[in-house]
Amino acid sequence: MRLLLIEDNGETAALIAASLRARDHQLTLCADGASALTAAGQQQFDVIIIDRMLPDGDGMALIASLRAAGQRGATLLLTALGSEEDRVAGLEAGADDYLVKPFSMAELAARVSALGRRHAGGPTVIAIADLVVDRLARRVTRGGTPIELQPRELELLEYLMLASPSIVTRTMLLERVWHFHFDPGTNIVESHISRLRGKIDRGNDLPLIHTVRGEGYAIHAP
Amino acid sequence: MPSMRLRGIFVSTGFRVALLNLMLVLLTLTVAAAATWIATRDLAEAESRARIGSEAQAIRLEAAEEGLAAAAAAVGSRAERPGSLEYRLIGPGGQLLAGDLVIDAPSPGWHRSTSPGVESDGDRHGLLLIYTAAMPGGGQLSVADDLSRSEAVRNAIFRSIALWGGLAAALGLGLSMWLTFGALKRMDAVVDTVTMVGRGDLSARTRVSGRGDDIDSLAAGINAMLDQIGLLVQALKRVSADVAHELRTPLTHVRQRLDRAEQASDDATRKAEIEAANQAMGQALRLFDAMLRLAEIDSGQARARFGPLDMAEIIERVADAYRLEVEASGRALIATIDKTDNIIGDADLLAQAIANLIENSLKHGQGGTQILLSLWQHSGGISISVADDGPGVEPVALPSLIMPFFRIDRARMLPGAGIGLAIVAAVARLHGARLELLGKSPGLFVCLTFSRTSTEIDPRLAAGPLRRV
Repeated sequence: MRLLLIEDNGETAALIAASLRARDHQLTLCADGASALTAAGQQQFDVIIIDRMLPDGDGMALIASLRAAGQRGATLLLTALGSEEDRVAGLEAGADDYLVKPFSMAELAARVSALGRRHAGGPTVIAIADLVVDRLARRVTRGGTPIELQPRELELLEYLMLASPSIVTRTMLLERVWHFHFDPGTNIVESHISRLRGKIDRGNDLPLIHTVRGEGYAIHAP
Repeated sequence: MPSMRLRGIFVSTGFRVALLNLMLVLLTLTVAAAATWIATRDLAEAESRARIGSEAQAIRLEAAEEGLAAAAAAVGSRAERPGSLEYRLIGPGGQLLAGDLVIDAPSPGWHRSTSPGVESDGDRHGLLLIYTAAMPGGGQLSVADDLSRSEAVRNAIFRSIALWGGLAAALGLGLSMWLTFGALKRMDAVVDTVTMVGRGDLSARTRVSGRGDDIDSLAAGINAMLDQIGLLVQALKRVSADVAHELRTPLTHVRQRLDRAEQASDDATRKAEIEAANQAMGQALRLFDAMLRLAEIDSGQARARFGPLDMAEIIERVADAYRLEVEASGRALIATIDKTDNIIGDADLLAQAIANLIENSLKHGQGGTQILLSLWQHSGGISISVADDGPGVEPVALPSLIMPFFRIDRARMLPGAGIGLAIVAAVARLHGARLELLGKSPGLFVCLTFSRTSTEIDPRLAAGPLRRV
């Protein structure tokens, strides 16, 4: 994917850039809003990562300028401010996602991947190996055998399949499936994944749901 | 500092009000005295004129009937009476027939003699009111009255008004200075206290006299404010110390894990140590997040985002998230959810509060068989409760339960920093909801009651809940 990173702290920018380039993304790095607008005028980016506090203004205001300059890429705001107020303000300013520092590179990479696919909207029927999800009919089959899922389990599976083969983090699942914008101390995501795994993968030689230690979950053919 | 206090008196509001009152009283007195003086003067002169007129008329009548000589005799006898008027009767040839009034021959009519003359008997007189008229059959009669006598009476009245008024004014001034002085002394004590607090002595308190007046209310108010500030500072100090203490453990683990990763001889060990360090870091960050969240909730900013909420939907969502976890612990999550009016609030924070309560029961209600989650509407509002049948909490520990970092003894070994219930209490405060905790019913029972529903605030808001995506 083509990414634009606007971050004024040199060390942070270098770490993020190295990590995303290692995941095969093409990344352009800008240290302020002005140079970001110049870069945005030259090509379309898939995802634009913007630091909230830039030397030449608020990253939130930059989103509007980038849109005015014709950029259609998804935007991800990075911030040191962790309040709910800031998250809501960021999303209202047009950001597609919001990540609070300090974050793990795995979290950032997973969100960037999710944002890159966002514009596709997703097909109505998704198939991975012999697992087929018909999103309109809300029907799930594995190897032709129907699988009964609770509404929330279906939501969880759909989200994993749309992201496939990328990793989806625990936080992303909490936000998208349960609308939890806080970190519960217990393993509620793990419990739901394990139950879903029981319905999808049990008795099958080819497990499709994979746990990526320290990062999250992914669904793909083995 | 007596000079300071004296200067303080003149700039004090109390004294200025007293002084203004005093000046008004003095002005009223002066106006009243002047009015009295003018009124009595006019009255006295009118009386004199009537008396002079009737005397002159009587003498002229005497002359017309009995002749000038008889009139002269009448004047003589009248002049002898005590308190009589002054007379002067002149014959047709200009000779003095009777009377002892010493004036130049005036023209007929009313006159006023301002130059004090001397009577033949040696009496001095001041201001004279004189009436002169021609006598029937020749000659001229002048009758006069000494106005200075009535003037003396008026002046006496005036002097006494001035004397008593002045005395009253002086007394008023003294009294108001004395009262202001006392009030200032008490105000000074209040100012001294505030100054001491300003310099950093939070233990300073001001004396309340017990009179129950405005200065007492001010002093009591300041003392109450200082008590509250003292509590807040104490709480802040405690929380700062607690945060430092709570962070030390995970940060120590991070350092130890990283040291071991550095010394690890194989990749697998190194990876495991780094992962463990990351987990310890996550624990420290969760604590930070929780503290920031607590501060954010208490700042009240979230009220700007309040909207009508369908509590049943929120509770079902949270219950759904935790059901598997509760069942995995060998207990049942039983939700009794009635349909209710909308609540005005913040969906994310309320979801977090309910999640924290379920997590609290999950962690501390071990040994029980179930966690009960209820939502119902009643005459007092809408209530949400979370109850477990675990070991519960001793009633004495209940008030501390909602303080950040508080953990009952047996919970010390369990994960978590003890912020969950503090966040629940903060969310309740933010929403103006009543938070009730029962320690042994049989386990912990926590109930949040929202007395205001959307229908009571604005019927339009009840129409449809705003759902967050």
